[in-house]
Amino acid sequence: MKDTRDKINPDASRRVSVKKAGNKEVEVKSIKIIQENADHDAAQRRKLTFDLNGKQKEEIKITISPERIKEMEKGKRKAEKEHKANRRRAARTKAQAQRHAAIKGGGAEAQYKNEFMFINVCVIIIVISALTFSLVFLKRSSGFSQSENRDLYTFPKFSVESYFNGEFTKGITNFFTDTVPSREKLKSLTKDFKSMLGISLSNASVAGNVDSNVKHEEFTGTVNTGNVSIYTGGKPSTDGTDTDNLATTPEGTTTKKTENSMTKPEIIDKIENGILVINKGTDEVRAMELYGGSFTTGKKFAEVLNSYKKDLGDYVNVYNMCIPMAVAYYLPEEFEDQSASVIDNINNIRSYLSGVADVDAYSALLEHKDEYIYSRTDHHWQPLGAYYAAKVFAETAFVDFADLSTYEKLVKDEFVGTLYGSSGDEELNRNPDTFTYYKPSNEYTTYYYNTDFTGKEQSTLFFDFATGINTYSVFLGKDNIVTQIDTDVTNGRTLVIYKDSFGNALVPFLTGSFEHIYVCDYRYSDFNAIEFCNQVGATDVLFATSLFTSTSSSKVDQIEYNRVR
Amino acid sequence: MVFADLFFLYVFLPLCLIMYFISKNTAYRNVILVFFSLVFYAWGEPVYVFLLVFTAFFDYCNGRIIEKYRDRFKGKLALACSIIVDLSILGFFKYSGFFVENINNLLGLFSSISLPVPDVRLPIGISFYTFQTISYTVDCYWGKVKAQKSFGKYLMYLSLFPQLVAGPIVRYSVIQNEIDNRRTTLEDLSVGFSRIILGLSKKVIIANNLSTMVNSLCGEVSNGYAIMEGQSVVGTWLGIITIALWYYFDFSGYSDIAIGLGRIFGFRFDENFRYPFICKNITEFWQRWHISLGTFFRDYLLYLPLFGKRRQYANLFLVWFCTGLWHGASWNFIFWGLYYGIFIFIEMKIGKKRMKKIPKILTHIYSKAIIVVGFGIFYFESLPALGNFFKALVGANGGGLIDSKTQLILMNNIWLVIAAVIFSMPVVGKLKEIMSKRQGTYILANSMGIVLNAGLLLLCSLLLVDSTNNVFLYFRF
Repeated sequence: MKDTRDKINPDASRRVSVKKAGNKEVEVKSIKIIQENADHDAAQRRKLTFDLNGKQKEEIKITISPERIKEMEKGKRKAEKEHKANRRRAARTKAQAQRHAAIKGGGAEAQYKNEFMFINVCVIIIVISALTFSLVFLKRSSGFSQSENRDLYTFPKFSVESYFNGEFTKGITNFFTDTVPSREKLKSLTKDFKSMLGISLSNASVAGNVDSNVKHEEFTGTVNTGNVSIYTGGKPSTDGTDTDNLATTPEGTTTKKTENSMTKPEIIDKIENGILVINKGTDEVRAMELYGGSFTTGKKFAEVLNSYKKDLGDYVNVYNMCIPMAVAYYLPEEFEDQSASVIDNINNIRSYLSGVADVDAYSALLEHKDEYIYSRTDHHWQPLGAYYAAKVFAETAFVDFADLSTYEKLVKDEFVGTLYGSSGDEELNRNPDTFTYYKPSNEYTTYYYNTDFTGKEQSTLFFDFATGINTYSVFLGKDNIVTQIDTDVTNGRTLVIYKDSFGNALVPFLTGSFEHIYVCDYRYSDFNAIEFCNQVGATDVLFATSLFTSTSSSKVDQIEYNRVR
Repeated sequence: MVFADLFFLYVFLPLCLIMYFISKNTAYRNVILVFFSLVFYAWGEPVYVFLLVFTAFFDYCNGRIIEKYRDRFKGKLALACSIIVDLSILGFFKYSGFFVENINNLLGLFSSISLPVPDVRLPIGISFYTFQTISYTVDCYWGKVKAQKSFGKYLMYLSLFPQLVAGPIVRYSVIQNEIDNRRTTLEDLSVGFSRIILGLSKKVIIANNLSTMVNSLCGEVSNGYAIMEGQSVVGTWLGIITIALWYYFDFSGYSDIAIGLGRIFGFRFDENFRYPFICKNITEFWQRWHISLGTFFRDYLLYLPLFGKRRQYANLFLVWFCTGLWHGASWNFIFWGLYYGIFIFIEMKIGKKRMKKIPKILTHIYSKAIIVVGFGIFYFESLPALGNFFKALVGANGGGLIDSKTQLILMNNIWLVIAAVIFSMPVVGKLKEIMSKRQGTYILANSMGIVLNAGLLLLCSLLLVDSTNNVFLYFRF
């Protein structure tokens, strides 16, 4: 028994030789020690189950003294300890070896890997937490965004319907992104970053959808503009219309315009073409909308105007003023292939006019090219440009014209126009325009109507509170209204202006030239243009539109539609 | 919801992570993942989320039936049901409009009858999850995977928000073990977060800005790609190179975010992109581009004995037809798929050995040219615009060789383009490898990595403030 006892190792996995009764040595593959009864007498009785080759099982009873058990357990623990220590030592040497290898240039991936990963995770979690905190808890932006000319999103209202059509969740996302704390500052940083994406070639950049449909048509014909006779005698009353009575509408149809619609005018025009931004610095940086041009549409436009003249009759003078855009004067030579020729397109239109008097705004502005006649950040002209154009018109129409010195000069600073919003060029935002406008000194009263020529209401010609991107709407406020101006002039002339937003700036300069002025936007009038002209007793009808309009097919269609509707 | 969005990054994700990690219990974590995934999907598809749940339930049942009645009629029927119903749903939502339009065009040749074109809106991500669920039932049928016993867990697999809406097409077999047994180690967190930031940067810094360039050079659907009528040759090529880079950065960025998010939750998705532009031929390109889609078609369609003896080539073209069609219900996508099919066919005919003999530089030029023109076909969704594009490619539209606007656009974005080209190649990985060799540079590389992560995350967040157009390209598919 002694032999057996001695050979039992606490580590059961070892192979053990056991001498069985009969002194036959058996190799034992596994030993299970089962404590049968722990409290049995002084000596512990152990039952060993020998699994011999997985087949036989024999039981041998061995008596082991408690001291021996303690000893055995001690030995087991010691062995375990040693084993662990060995493993640790081995790991240390391995790491050391790796470190040595690393220093020698053999790959240091394991080194400080955990430390780096830990720092990495911490830094990222800190950044995310900080941004989450500031996005969720700081004061959010709200209200009207000047640079984008729109109200920022507000938190959406929940309803079952808005949830199921996705508006609600989309609204939350939009609200969250749109009202980020100190949004404007961050946006301007964004734009700074974007300007670092490349080199600004000849100090120029292009934004927006560049209309590559530029038609490089060259006008080679001759223009005959001197063959239209202007009738200056006022409208003969033989056709039975009484102008004074017609201009007033019944009180009952008056609708009150909300104050709100005036303080926040809509965006004046959509920028549809590519925008070229040239130069840098104050008074230097300039954005301009590129121009596509179209001779065919231009011809159609001229023909539409000819039809107007035909319909209105001999006693009504019809004028065409194609208002050039900034691109006509400020396009650098190297970008001439990106824009159609303004003068060729104007000449093309002129060549098809018959019976319609042409107002040569192009040449008038060309003379004053170096003055502040176009905004640098807005697609419109400056009032000064409109003054020179109005002057030519007055000469063409043989009416008096008040000199600029008689006007009251007003200045609006910090005018960042539409081209900043559409090009996103931060240089424009940093160098705003100065918007100088002029108020006539003579007496006049201004009335506004709805687009269907009802709801007459007296108001002011100028909206001095117009600011920011909409500074240009200081004239007439919105585009989509009909304006009537009765002046102290007594020449019997009544002018109807069909215009786009460019034409707005002309109006103040004509208050000293016509007795009545009606201003209609061709896009927003809900009545037949010919009937309207007859109704108000027009003696002169001026089409004052930018060349964009005159050569845009859909817009020319709209003008024609106004005639035949 | 999209990943490149402040609301996702700073409200949804932190909430989800906090809820997920407050308990170590996998069952609890699974419930949290299902909940957040469904919220994530319902954010964009409040109605079709039910379709997703239905699909999951339907194929969960099919999986169980297939396993129970293996190799018997009922099992086969369940598989057929699964494939037919899944493809019908996909077909209805994605292709019905296209199908009817084409029928109308055909009818228009003979009569004046025209069918009303159904106006069906495509549920987000349906192309991706339909393929995932099909791969599951087919794998069940083939005995590759065991059917999932719990509907909740299957729903979690299918709706798992990191990969739900725009891939990669994660197979059930890839994550089946991780559904029940997964841990997030420190390494998972570190690698996962870094991967998310990498993906976000690809999308927000590079892809979004490239897309502005693409709009200026090639126009948009909304304006009928009018610009292509007069685009110069250089402008056109620059345009399609930009498009190729744009798609790569947009889509691989999305995959990076998906893989990173998966990693944080303890899932290991397969890579979806392996620097496709370093390929030497078209076959290799497709082994590197959108790998999960390529392998899906390879495993489930290419080797199906559909065409008898000629199946090798017939199946090849079927695969490429389907690949094209999968990308969208429009002819240009089909052309695009078949276009690749043709080149892969040619490469098969030339043979691998002979392909290897061609000088590397030539194979690079050949493959890059084919790929960028391919992206041109992919981009122009209207056939007239596609015609204009081909004319412009060789200057047949009279647009000239180069114009000032192209020069200007290129110079205005030159750093962006250079960065995009460099990062489309595995330079960062190589640099890291070299720097890891010495202790000093190793520490420098790792410290720089941490600083870069923080910096890029801040920059992306900043750029997201002013971005209105965040939708990932592959959302449409």
